[in-house]
Amino acid sequence: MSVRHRITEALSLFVGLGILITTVTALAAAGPTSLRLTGMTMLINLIIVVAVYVFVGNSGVFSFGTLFFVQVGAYVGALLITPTAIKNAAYPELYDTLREVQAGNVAATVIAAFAAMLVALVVGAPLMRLSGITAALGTFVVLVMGNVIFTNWEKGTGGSPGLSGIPQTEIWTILVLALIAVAIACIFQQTTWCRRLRATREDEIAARAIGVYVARERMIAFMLSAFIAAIAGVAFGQAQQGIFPNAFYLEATFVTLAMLVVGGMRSLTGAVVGAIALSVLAEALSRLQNGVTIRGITVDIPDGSQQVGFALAMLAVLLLRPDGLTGGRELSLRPFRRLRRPSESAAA
Amino acid sequence: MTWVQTAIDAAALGSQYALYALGIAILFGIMNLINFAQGEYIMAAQYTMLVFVGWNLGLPIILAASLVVAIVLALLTERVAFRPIRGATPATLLITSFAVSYLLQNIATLGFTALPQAFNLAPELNDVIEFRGVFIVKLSLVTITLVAALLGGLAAFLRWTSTGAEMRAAAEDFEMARVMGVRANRVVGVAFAFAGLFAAVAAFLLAVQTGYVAPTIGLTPVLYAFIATILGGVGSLVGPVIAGFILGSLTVVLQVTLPQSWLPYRDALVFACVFVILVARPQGIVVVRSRIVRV
Repeated sequence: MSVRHRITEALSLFVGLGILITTVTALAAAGPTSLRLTGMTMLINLIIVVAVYVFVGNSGVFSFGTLFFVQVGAYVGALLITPTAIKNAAYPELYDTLREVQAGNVAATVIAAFAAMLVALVVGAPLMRLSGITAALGTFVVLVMGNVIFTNWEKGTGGSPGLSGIPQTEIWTILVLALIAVAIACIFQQTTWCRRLRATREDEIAARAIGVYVARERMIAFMLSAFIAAIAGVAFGQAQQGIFPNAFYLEATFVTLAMLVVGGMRSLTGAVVGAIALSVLAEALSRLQNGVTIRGITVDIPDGSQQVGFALAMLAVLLLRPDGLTGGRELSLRPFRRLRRPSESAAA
Repeated sequence: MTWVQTAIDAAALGSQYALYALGIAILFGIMNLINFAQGEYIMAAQYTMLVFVGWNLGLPIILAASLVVAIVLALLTERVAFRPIRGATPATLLITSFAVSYLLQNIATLGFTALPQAFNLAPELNDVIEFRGVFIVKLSLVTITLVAALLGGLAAFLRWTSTGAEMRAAAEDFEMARVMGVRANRVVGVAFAFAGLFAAVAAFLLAVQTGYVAPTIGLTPVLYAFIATILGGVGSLVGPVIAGFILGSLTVVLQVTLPQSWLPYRDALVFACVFVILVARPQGIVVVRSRIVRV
């Protein structure tokens, strides 16, 4: 495919998804503070799901480890962004350098992302040669190990209560981060590396036979996935104003994997749609839990049904439409192509 | 003779992990399904025990009830959640079992609240016997003998009954077994029933040991089961059992030998060792020849 074609593909996908995400965000931002917070959570989950997709969707190898990189990003970001005065007061047990170091928001995000990428290089090197289920287990082990380390390493991370006092941020900042994440994924999808990676997803042996270096292609996607995940982590810290190890463990892993699977594991549109759809569902269920009155009839479901509803929705999609809501298809502006001159569309 | 002590503790913990591993391995071998819901079968059995202990019924009734609940739940999840997706990609199977697990955990939270609830089951098993300077908890002996008996029973079942032979055939090559007349539903049903059985026994041992139940109680067993299954070798039952013993022994040895400041990281170190073993020998401890992909 020509370079021009690839650029237009990436651009059209980005524009389509960007409009979708921005519209939903604007709706959330127009509401009360609680809705804004929900909107921020949705965007952060969206970034995480995009990170998961970049690796899992393109390589076909399951990974439970994405939340580990979110955690790395969150802690690096939090330690850099939180003012030294607060750190000195609240966390005297941290190492001196960690308390003194400080950076602006943008610098912190970039450093966090690269730090996570470095960790992914180290952790992923042995994993990328493993086959599907063994690699999945390897990432699971990484997630669990990460949880144990972050919970117990009080001098480095503040232990299980975590860190708080992180300065707040705007929903629009997180929207920008989300759009950046989607842009990275759109661009990556059109690169040669990603094409080779998808070849390994379809038939690993045949891909090897045509000269694809499987471990390397997977590693590139793994590192990129960690990069994006770390961005989500930094945003998470700023949105919640506090982080703790168990926020990045099994429940979050399940929720983000559910979003990817419900949306459709094989396309970026699936990742985005899944994140938005399940966030909306979670919000609807949460409101039902608090009691909603429709034309005089009050509907109130018991507390804790939100998660049950979530799991049921996920099971319904898995059993009835296993390819997800999008079925692996990407959003594209193809219908608009017909409006252009016939010679242009013929050349594309 | 502290090494005797360590050896017995290792055997007891190893037996527990082997038991968890069997619950996952038996389904993985036949259907390529990692059943995260296994942890919830354990949880359900424990909640049954909680309720029945509250009604002050005798131990045999409590055990029988929890066994029935675990098996029924296993068969129910098979029928409703796993049968429709039989033959789907491993990723779909994995996520579905994850969803079922999450669903059951939250149903339990709805019914019993998320707080841990204590109960007293067979407390006499927590007594310690002294034998020539070695202190042995009675529960350790019960664990070792119970799991050994279960393993022996399972081996006998697989070797000497026709259903056992059918299960072994299905684990080797499901489609071929069906061509030869093995009924898929029956084999899968029996496998799930076994999973329920293992869950109930594991629940009993766990309940006596820890004395409480919470909706998240199944997470740790499933984690170790998952690790032991892959480490042991996909498709075999012997491998995961061996891997379970290795994991248990490793945990106990580290517990005994690590310096005080490193103890909180004991589990991280166990997993680091698992990581290293996985990378050195990705196919697992026991390689089932029929599963090697030939090009």
